Amino acid sequence: MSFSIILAVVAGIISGLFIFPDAFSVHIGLIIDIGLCLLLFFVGMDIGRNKEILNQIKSNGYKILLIPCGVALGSIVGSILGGFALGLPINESSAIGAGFGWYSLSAIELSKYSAETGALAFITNVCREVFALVSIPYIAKYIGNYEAIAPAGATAMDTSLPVISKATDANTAIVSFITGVVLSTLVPILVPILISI
Amino acid sequence: MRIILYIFIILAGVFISSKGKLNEMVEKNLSKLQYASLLLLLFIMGINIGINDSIINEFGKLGFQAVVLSLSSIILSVAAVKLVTIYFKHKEKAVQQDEL
Repeated sequence: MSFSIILAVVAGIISGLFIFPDAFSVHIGLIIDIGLCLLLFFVGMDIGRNKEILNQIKSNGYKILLIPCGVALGSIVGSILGGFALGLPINESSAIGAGFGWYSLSAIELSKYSAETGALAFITNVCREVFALVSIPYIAKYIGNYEAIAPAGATAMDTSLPVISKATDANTAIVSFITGVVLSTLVPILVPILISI
Repeated sequence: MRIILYIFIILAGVFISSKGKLNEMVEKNLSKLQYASLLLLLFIMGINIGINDSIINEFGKLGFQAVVLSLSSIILSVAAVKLVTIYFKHKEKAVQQDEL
């Protein structure tokens, strides 16, 4: 996780506290919408450049897609159960869980719903990435290779990939990458659906 | 409706870059562009948090909730993948028995 990401959020919080007037919050939804569209466009370009993904899915067999499905289902059900214990409404806890560790996108999307839910989504998904990086080597050793992909969620294709690759083998690294791509595609679809339940 | 827009935008990006229609300058700087728009968005999200006094006052509570939510997501997702791998092994065994 990059220092500049935390810095951007902290700089925003400080300028929100001291510089921007409360009336600015009216415009935030629109600015986020424009920026989000731009970001998703770049993400699409990134996926389009990588022509290997489809071939990799074909050689591994389509059953490999059950792994991202399992991670998605487990993450959402898990956060609903956690949210139940904390007294959070199901739409909020499930949408936060559907961030799959991609803290920037899920938090940005949810901060349009409420700043507090956005903040919780950010911290939750940052925590998920940190816990993933710490637990992956142990899960790979004591539970199994594919299971080691699960904590990483959407970050299985980028920030967590080096850790997974080191803790497991080349085939698991490819499955991890595919899992990350599928989950990353699901985040901008599932988060708005779940929050509007 | 919003979701359709998001999917359309992602697919437009996939289409343009897979057809090799990317400007060389854009292609070279894609990750930088992506990162710059991300940082800007996070800055704005930060402003949104900073303006809201109740979040600042409840930061400790949010931290505790975040730990509970992230751990429960991780545990359940590992369990779900465990079920998937059990299914894989079960299927593999069935194929081997068929071959015998």
